[in-house]
Amino acid sequence: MSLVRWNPARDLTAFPSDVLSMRKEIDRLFDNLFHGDLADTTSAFTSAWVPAVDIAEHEGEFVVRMELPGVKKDDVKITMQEGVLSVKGEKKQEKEAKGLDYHRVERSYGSFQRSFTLPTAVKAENIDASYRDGVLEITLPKAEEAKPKQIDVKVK
Amino acid sequence: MSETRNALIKHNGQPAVPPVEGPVSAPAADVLEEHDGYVLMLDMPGVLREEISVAVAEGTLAVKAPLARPRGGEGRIIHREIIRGGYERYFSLGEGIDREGIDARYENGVLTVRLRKSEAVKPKQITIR
Repeated sequence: MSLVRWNPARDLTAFPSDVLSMRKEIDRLFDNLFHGDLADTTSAFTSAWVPAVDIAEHEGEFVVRMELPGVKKDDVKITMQEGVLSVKGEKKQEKEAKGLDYHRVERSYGSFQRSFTLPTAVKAENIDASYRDGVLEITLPKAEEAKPKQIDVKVK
Repeated sequence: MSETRNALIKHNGQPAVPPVEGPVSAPAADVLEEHDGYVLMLDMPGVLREEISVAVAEGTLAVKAPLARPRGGEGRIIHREIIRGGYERYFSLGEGIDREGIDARYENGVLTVRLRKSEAVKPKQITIR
């Protein structure tokens, strides 16, 4: 039996992330900075990480979905002021990770903040938010005047 | 990533661990080491716990999950950043890892997998006589 130097890093090698999805992440980050549509005032330079967001429009409301894996509900703050929706918070290191050695770090941590101006007015007092399995979902009902209304056109 | 897939395909053409349907992305993973094992933490928000698969085959740990559909339908997307599709990631397990007793839990969109070091490689204190 021969003695072979044991390299702990060899026991658990992660295959590198799909290069294509990493490229998509970088593209997305740059798109964010220059995206004009929604007046997205993402402070990409001041926050540690930028959570991914989808915004969908339904007939009576907007739904904002933000991926916040590992963030605790209590560490998220949502505010609506003068038509601007802001979501800020912090993703903290898990307590079970404290004191352990890191072989690989890919996940993002730290504070984040994103703001959005929605295309039409919403009823701020009826905004609802739920957080499940790492996804924050914010529902913003449209203000009455913003809802699509059927207008009958009389033909003279 | 496709070389990995090929590595898992056996001679009869069937993959050892079936792939997820549709487009997939690899979840970000932190790999940590503790005294007697390893901890993997993967960011996998928005999947259903019962649809996550963590399996070991031929020395490779495979983590997969299909993406859960958003509740209430999609509506008209006016801003899209979230990468569509499921998750898939593979880890090669060396000799120092015990294939048994792998623990996995899913909380707040993070999958935490705990692996134990095999007895042979656990640090042992040698008493000096």
